[in-house]
Amino acid sequence: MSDEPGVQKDSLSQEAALEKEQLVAAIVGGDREAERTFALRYLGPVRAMLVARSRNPDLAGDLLQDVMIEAICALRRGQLREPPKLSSFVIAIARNVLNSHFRGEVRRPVSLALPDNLPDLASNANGVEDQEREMLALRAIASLEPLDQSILQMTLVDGLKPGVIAERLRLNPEVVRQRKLRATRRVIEFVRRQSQTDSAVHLVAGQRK
Amino acid sequence: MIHCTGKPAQDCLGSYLEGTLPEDEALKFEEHYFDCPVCLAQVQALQAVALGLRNQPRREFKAPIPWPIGLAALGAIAAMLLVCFMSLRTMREGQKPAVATVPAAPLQQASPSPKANPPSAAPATISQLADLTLPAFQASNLRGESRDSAFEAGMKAYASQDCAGAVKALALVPPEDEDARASRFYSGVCQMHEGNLAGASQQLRGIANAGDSPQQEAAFYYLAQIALEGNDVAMARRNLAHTVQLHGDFEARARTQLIGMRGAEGR
Repeated sequence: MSDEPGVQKDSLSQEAALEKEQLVAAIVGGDREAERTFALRYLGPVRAMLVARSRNPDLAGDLLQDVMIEAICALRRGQLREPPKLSSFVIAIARNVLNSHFRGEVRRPVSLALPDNLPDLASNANGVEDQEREMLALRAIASLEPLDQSILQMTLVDGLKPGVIAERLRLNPEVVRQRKLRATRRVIEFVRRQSQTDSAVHLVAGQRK
Repeated sequence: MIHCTGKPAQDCLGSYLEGTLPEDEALKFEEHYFDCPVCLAQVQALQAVALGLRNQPRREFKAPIPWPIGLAALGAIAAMLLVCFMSLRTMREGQKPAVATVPAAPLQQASPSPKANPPSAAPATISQLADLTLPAFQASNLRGESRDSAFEAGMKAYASQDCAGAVKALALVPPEDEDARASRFYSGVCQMHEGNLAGASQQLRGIANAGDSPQQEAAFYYLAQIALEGNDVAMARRNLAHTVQLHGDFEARARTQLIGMRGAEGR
């Protein structure tokens, strides 16, 4: 009985792997509903990754469509050998798309018959959810002290290091570092508390509950 | 991944979004949050905050007064107040010589103070510095039912200053719950407010010693207040110093109290 949590965890990851295998098999088999499920499942994390790596939400929005189309094409062609590694596969495609963009490569237009019911990737499929998150974020920002707001702004928007921020605000770099850390935790905690929807409900193998 | 408590995001989210996380760790974190809704939600939350901040107007900050100057100014104010207090007392004593011949009240001689031998020979004024007011809590405006009904109930009682009710409800929050630490903190300050200083001290000490958390700085600050209330100068000073080191919301108050303690001890 002592290893019960481990067993439970294993069974969960087995279940997730099985779901991925079924999803990939369905896409290879031409199931358009599976493609839609795939898109819903990976839209959020791919966008988060593109925003994090490009630091440009507009660019991330543009590239998101390329990534999803390229991933669906590759899956249709059966290019994924190990379906349980679906997430790593999508990450690799997203990185390639992003790298190609930064290298200035012109990507070949993909002629792909996409299913009609594929989420509208160009115009933000999770609009309502994003709006809610944005409103929560604004409230989270308002809950911070003005100094902490400025520190987070300089960190997350301008990409400045604590030393530079400290110089600009004439503070000790250690003070900036600690305030930044605490402010980051506070906003995450604030958003977590305020959003009643359990985050675990959002994405479980692409099914919205 | 459903069992994830969000620790990976807590550990590397900041540096990941700043772009300072080493590439291999960034990749590992991405592989994790692609399959972990808890960590993904944290990434998205902070990205939404970054987006919100992008659209916020920039604030012009006046350079804060360097702390040695601020400290010196506060020290000067404290010294002036002390001088005023002393001269006022001297004047009062000079005005009532006859009172000195009246024998001391027998009660004062007969009954020793219940606080026998405080840890340091600090004057009684030290305890007057203690700030036992409840810290503010912004009640969350949740839609529908909350997951942590005990915590919510406790914090509702707390918001309406029903400390006994809050302590009772917060005790029901399971220790593995993510709000457990917050509930222990608020339970601690409620006990402090109610006068159960030993119980409060135990709760707050646990929070303070548990490492970095949103409540750690406040826990040190209120531990200092409990020590002040008990005239334990050394403990109060130690906890105030910890508070100052954390450079948070309580830093200014802690510094002022340290100066105030110095003034009170000098009397």
